[in-house]
Amino acid sequence: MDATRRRYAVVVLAVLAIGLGAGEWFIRDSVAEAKAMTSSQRFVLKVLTAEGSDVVAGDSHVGLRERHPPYVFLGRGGITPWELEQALRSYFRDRPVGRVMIEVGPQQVAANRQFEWRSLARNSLVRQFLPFDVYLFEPELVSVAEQRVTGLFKRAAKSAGRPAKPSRKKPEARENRREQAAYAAWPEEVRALRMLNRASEQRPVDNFEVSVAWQAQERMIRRLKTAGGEVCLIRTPLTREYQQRMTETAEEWGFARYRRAIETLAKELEVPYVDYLDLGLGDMPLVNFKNQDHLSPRGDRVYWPAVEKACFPGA
Amino acid sequence: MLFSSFEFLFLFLPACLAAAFIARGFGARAVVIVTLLSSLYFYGYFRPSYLLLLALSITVNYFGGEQLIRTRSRPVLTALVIFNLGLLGVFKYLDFVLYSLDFVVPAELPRYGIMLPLAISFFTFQQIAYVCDCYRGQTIRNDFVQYALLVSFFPHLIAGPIVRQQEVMQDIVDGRLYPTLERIGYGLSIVAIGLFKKVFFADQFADIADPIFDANTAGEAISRADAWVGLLAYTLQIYFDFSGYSDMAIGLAAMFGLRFPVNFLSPYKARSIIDFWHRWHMTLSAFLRDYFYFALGGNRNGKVRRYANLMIVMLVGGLWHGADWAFMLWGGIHGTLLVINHGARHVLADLKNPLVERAAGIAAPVLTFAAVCLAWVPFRANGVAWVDYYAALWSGPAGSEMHTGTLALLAFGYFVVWMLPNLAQFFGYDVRTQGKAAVAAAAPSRLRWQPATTWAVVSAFVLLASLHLVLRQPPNAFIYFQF
Repeated sequence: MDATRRRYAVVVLAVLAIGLGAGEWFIRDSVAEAKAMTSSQRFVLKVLTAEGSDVVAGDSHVGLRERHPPYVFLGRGGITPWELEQALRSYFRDRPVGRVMIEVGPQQVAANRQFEWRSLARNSLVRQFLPFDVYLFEPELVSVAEQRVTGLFKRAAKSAGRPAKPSRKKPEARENRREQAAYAAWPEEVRALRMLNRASEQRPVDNFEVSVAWQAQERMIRRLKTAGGEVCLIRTPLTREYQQRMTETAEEWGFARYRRAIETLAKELEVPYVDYLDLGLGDMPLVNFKNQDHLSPRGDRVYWPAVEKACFPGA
Repeated sequence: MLFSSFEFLFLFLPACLAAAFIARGFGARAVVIVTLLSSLYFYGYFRPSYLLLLALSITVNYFGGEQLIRTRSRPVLTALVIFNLGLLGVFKYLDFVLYSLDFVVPAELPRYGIMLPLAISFFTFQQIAYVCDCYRGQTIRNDFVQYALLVSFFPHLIAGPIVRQQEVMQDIVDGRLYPTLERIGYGLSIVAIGLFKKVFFADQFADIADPIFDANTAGEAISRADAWVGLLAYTLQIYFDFSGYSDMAIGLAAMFGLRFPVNFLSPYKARSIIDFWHRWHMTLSAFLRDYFYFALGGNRNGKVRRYANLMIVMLVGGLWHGADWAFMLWGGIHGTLLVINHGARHVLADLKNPLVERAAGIAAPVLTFAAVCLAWVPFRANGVAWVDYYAALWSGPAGSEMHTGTLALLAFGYFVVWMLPNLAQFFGYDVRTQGKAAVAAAAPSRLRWQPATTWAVVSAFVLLASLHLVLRQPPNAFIYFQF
């Protein structure tokens, strides 16, 4: 009886191990084969695979595109400081910490950033035991494999003569890009309305100093400093119009209080804080922007070298 | 750390089993100590400070129990029961009592905002049972470490089943607590079923029920159809959630060689409310019957006292689930249904009419399910939102676009709960019914578990499918964690 039960256990564990191994292989293969991935999926993949110890970390203002080599850009739209902290822990688990610029605009402590987002925390944990990343543990990468399977079914349905459902996301994304490209050409009143909404979204929560997001931001900076990194806190540029809008609401919506708090924190942690207004770039023209608070490639060429110089003057 | 979480399944459990494997080389005592430390880590992972509370509770009950074994002193027993109920009262019910007194006392009373320590209801009840058994001389002798492990053993610590000392202590004392390859294989097969119930069924039904109940709580009008769909989905959610958790607990204990009592026996197949309580959360029902209902006098003092006792027990059972009047209401509904059920039994017995008996036999399962289902409304709806929910069920605005997928999923869920065998039948587990050990009617032989390759492959695939769901999204908390 014992031998039967032992064989049973061996079969269960063997099938389980083979299944998990096959899953890991399939996800890695799907990631390698994937033609298009969402920004979240690309972000997770980049944290796991990018090389380089100099990093710029933040949200969509930083993005994933390499804008200023040799810095690795680790930015994802709407990322919470808690998640960014996990991402940087994961990234620097087996890489030396070099120069790190962290975007700390007021939107980082807005209401929609006050939560914990689970992915990447898993590899951050697993890397304490294993010397490699496990793609199976990243929900975003698991979903790449799922998309591949769905794609196979769709293709099979198509070849069987049934039309596959058209994807809604891609044309929308293309449309967004077109829209953003023409930001300078938007009527002033449309831009003004967008800015008002945006400023409202990005305002810090009341008592942001005790918020989850603020605490994660502080922890992240301390951890990087302890690991021997040169840390610099930055605030990315806004259009002059948007800056004016924020200045009008600075006291009422807490932007001014946030700036004072972040400056105090920078002093306390002995890291530089570089606001784009202090860079001496003057008012950047609208063509340097994709929209009110995102730089265009032309803007990137102006801003990133300047901010690096201000952050790390000896570099 | 939830049983259905990545941290538990991929880190804690393998580490804990590996540690116990290694410890076995150093003797049975080492396994007990290592498993105790693992269990304390598991509990402390949620909130380390409450480890002190757990330690206090274990220490007082163990030494109090030792005193009781020696002296059989009633004052000591009373003091220990008061201590346990006191802990529960302070940490779980203090604010509720103060809130309720606001309606009676003119002055506004303070609130303490004490956070409910995880699993306090479970480990308190388990230890009340222990001290009562010590008083009755029905315990197995154990030392402090063994007792601490019994109470804090991670498979049952958070949400039961409520394990009595006599059920597992002999195995611990005799050094039979250790994992082996055979035990892990068998335990994993049970865990696979529990995990699948949780992540495939319960979480999907939660996605249907939660938005509807939340909309109702927010004061939005919900349509009659949505209200019924929400209720039917929640009925399945709570069953799959809790029974899935219990199955996982049984499977995890089996990996260490312990046999936990079965907690669910296809409750929605019940033929009466009395039968339902012999099938739903069986270890709690047994606790309430053996340590509370009998202590109140049970059925020994005439019908009226019996019904009053039933009602009191069910009200307390309701309140055990949470410090809220809505849980009391839920308990009260079940108490009333039990009284009606007992009354009807007597009437039917007096009538001795086969035709009426047959009609009752056909109608009873349907009525039972309908009553149980409707009683879940105050259990799920927050505060007094159950009033609006009941109103929506009967007179909500008609019409809502029903998603075919939702209805198909509900139909599949009910097919599983009504047509398929339960865990005890699959695995030939012993069950306690009405205080007696019995073997559940076995499943058809083709569906009965055997240590065969086919079963091993099926179990592994069920586990893989569940793990896929675990890995693609963060887990939902188990409903019974809050109790």
